[in-house]
Amino acid sequence: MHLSLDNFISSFDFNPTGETAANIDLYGTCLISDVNTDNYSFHLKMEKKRGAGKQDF
Amino acid sequence: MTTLKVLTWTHVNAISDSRILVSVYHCCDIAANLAVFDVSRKGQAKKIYSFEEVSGGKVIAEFPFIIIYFLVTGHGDVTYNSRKSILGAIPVGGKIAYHLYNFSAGKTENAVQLLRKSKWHSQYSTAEGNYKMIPIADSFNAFESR
Repeated sequence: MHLSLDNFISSFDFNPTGETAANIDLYGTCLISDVNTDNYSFHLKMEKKRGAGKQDF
Repeated sequence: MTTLKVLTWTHVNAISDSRILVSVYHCCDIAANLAVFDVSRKGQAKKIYSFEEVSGGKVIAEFPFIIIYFLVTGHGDVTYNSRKSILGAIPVGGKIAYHLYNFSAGKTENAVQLLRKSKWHSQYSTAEGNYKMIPIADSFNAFESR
């Protein structure tokens, strides 16, 4: 059994113009950032009731 | 000889308007690498770029049948934007949101360049108190003795 104690990016994408990146992490935080400057723009924490965010046996 | 199968994920992305394939390989949450292939010649795949393997995993404790580690590369993902000819791949948990690459197409050859390791923003979830357990029973079954 593996116990992973850290977070990682589950998925990400660029918008059509390639100016903005959207990432979502293992625990459901979606974060928008500027591709050119790498600066933070916005984030939203989405509650996860089941799945890898808590326990997944 | 004994072989242990580990959890791996492979992503393949075709670069639009070109004959280029990108392959990203994530191994067991702890390492990842990337390779770019030129498939313009029929029947041939020429590797034109490869990125150093990211060894993100650091084992902090090991017990019988249990391995605890952090700093993970995860399952990985890869995405390409054709308008800016940029590719994002290989996140490393807690350190790098994604590696950003630039693709430039020439008349004779294509070039790939690592532009940046995008920073890990503090707004991402903290893993404190949370943990993910991945049963690797299949891996135990995968011990193959010859």
